[in-house]
Amino acid sequence: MSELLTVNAVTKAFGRKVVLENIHLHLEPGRIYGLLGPNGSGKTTLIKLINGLLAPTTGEIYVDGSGIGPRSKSLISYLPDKLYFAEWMTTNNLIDYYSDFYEDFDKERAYNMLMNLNINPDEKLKVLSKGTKEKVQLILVMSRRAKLYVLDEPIGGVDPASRDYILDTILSNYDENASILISTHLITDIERILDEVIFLQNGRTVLSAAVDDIRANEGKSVDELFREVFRCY
Amino acid sequence: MLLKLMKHEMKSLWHYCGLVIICVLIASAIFEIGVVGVVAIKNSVVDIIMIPSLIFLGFAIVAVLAYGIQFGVAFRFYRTMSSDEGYLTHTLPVNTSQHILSKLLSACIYTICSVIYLIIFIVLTVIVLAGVTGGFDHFPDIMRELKVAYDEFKSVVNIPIALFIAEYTIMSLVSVVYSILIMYVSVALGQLISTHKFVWSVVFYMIITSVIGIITQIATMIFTAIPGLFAPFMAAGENATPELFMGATHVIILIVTVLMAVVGLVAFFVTKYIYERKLNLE
Repeated sequence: MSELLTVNAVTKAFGRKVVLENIHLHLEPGRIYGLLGPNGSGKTTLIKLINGLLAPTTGEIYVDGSGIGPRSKSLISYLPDKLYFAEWMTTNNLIDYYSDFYEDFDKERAYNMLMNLNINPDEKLKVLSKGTKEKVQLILVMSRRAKLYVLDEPIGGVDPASRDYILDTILSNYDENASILISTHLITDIERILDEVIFLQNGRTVLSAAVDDIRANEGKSVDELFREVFRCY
Repeated sequence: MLLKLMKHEMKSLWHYCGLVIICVLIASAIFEIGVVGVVAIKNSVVDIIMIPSLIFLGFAIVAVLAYGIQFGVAFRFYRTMSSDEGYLTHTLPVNTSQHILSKLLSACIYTICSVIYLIIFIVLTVIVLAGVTGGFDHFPDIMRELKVAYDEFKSVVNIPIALFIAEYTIMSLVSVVYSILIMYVSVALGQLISTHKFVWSVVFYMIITSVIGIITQIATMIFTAIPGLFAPFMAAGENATPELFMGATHVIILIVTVLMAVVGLVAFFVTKYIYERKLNLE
């Protein structure tokens, strides 16, 4: 099967500090990947590299055969782990913005999701709660028919009741041939949707395996394995 | 894609500069009404209060518009390129050059419009003053005086007058682009520091403009010593003829334009390099 994302021997250092070391990743279409690891393991740095927000010190990254650039950015729908929209904008402004720049943006899908969550698209972001702003971000990201969704802590800031809705939103809004790369600490919440997991520790890949294989070979859930691998002594 | 970027940039710049523009428009209206009032009332007590107030207001209009737009342009660039909003900017499917170019062109449009507005404001003030003081009766005389001045200027300037105006206009346009690019490169350098990025951007701006100022002083000293350029003009001192003066001005315009274009280009490519290779979003 053709690779959607190839991370080839990527190392990222900030000055003398090496944050990622010799990372290899090969993501195939139509799968959901969990990027898991403790704080400071390099998850967000790797995601920033994939999205062109950082340049690797060494190594290469390809998205659907293209190096990082305008084409790769048109294929990736990225949700950062922070609020990044201008507060003076309304959701309507943002929908216009997204539909102008992303050919794969589906306005109808966005408005349907906003309606389901009772979010008024005419309201400015500054009057919305933090949780609602996060939902608006997720709606905009999931309203694209992208090839790869890269979601950095999509459920980190929301209450447990909203997590299921968000995960359902993610699952029901991505195309069969698209892939999702999710980074999170909340493994129990997302384990049910994952096909594969990648464990990062101190900037290195310590495990890359299918969830079914982990269950069959280790006799453990991903959460149990995570706790074992990253146990704090 | 550049036009789409510009469309959103123009709208967003209004958010940053709109308040300044509205305030300036209101202040301009108050100024013009004040000018009419002072001339109409002809009261010495009113004059003592109003004339200094109007002079202050006039300067405030010019300063607020000029600096307000510049600050709005710089802050907008910082917010979209170096703060959290950069996550949206830098993941759009466009390259860094297009980002910088779209912001630069939009900022130029705002700056040029503000300059045009100030010219209109001054002309309007002159017309209002002429209207209320009966100055229009002297209009033919003024036109005659202007014609004499124009003919004198034409006889002094060795180059065609249209070319001189074109050179001056090009220098002004290059200077607008240059000043914006200096702000952009300062913001780009400021984002390399992990904390207080905007403060650091201001510090870098002050450093860059000071360094350019010092280099310009040194270059001027060197150039004035070169025979054939400004040396005859400098040697003539107070007795310099208008021909010498205009000749020197002509050369200065060309040199300044070229230097600003070169420094502007360097600033553009440094900004591009920093955002492509050294992006430092939190």
